[in-house]
Amino acid sequence: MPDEYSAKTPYTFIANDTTVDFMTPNMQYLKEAYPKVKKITVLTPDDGAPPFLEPLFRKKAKAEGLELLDFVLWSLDTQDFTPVTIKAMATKPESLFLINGWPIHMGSMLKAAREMGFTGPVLACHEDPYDIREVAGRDASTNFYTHNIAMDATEMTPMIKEIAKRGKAKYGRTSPTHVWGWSPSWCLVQAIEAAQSLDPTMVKNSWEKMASIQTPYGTGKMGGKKTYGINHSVSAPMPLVSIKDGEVVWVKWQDVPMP
Amino acid sequence: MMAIEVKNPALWSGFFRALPEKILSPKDKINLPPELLAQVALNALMLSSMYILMALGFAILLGVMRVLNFAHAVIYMGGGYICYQLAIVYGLNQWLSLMLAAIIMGLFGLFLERFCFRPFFGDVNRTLVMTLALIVIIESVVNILVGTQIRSLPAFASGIIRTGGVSLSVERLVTFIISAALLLVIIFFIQKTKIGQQMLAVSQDDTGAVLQGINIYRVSAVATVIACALAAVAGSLMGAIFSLSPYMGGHMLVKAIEIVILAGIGSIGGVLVAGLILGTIDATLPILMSGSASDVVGLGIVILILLFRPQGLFGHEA
Repeated sequence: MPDEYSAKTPYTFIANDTTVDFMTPNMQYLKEAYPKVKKITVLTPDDGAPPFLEPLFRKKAKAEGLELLDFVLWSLDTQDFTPVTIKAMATKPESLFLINGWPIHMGSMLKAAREMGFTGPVLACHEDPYDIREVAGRDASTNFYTHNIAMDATEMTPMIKEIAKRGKAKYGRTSPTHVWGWSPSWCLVQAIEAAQSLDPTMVKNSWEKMASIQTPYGTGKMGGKKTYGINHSVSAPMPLVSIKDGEVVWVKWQDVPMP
Repeated sequence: MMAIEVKNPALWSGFFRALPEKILSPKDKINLPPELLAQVALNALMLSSMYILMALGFAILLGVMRVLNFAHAVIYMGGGYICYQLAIVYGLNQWLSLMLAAIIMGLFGLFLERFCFRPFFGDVNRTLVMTLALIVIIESVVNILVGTQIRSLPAFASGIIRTGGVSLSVERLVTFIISAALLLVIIFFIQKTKIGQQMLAVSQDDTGAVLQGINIYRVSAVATVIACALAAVAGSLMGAIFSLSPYMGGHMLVKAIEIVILAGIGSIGGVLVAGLILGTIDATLPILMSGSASDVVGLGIVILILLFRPQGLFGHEA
């Protein structure tokens, strides 16, 4: 939201791709893998962000030749997602987009949608597919796509593989959150090294001018001026994974444009 | 009487004019086809049964011991995690794990009654503080032991029944059947068994019950065991339908409190009606209005009912 991140917040940087960043890549993949699917219904929490997200989503959907049927809002206190899923199903969508929320929310919505007989693709922005599968159950976990890390996939970068290895050694299991937490920290370190200073203003000035920056996902670049009004977003390729018949499978790397 | 000056009345009148529009914006006026209407009705029934299952144990303790047991939330949560540990980690049969979880939490109820409730019998404030302390302790312990990793029990019964455009998961149907059965068992227990009648006597007048020779501590112990066992069953079933988390009990506790207050303290049968009302509200309002507005209106309806009937639907006036 503009109060959190815009030209009015000059010391804020985003080093992980956001909900807004994933909208276009998700839509592009939907067109590629499901060319007959044109109608989307979005489910998103009523947390103050929808007035900013809906116009953006509508604009991007139109640009991709897709139709946004409805932006269905759910309360953050929701436990049973069947009612909001019924509301989404009433719009007769061909695809569902779950934007924002946690795996317990998205897994519940996926489960509810499949229980109601919806078989179309369900796309989420940036959630742990393993947690979503845990909540939704293997039977419901299919035709689901999310930009996230398949920690055991061979297509992961050496950095992600190293984080996965250390996570397993220390905690017995690894999780995409280990990478999410690492990425902004590493970006900040690079910005400090580029500035050769710990002074926040010098680090800020240096960071926003960096031509490229290393991330666990590969080489990123700074962007966001047109979208957010400030050039403080690290845009890096993101892995797209899917859950097919209960198994987390690798799809591909996608560029995440950040104008 | 002090006159209150309303500054900028135009702003406030605009706010109140805009409020209904915010709650029911034009784009929320949706048309539900008949099969989805039937789906809504079915879901209302299923959701009501979950709420009733959670509220039953809470109602028993409040009715018999006059204990507002906020720790019901963590007993519900603990039951779910114990079921998970037995079924998934130790590999026991899931139904057996559910029964063992109910027994284990029931035994925990004995500890609760003897050491947490009995020393403060009759002292509402101290008992309340004790239950709040239990929430913090148990949630923290579970959080430390389990962490924030998402866990969920597998479905107790898998499959979807589809008929006439309406879908019903077998898991929810089983939960409904168990809730209905437990409600009937509890009502029978209270009305037809000796210990149940003693519980009724204690809930009506504990001094009178003592004078009749009833051991109120024994009655309280039985009530707490039953309440905790019911909470554990609810936690295990919900842990499969939704998911497990150290903080999963908070939301359901609020629903239990709403139901018990709406039903009237001491009315077990009233829990059924109140549960149906609340389940229907929660199953239909999110469809009619956006997000958080449904929470506000839902609570508003409960408050409205209580304004006209403060003792609850089946409670007695003081």
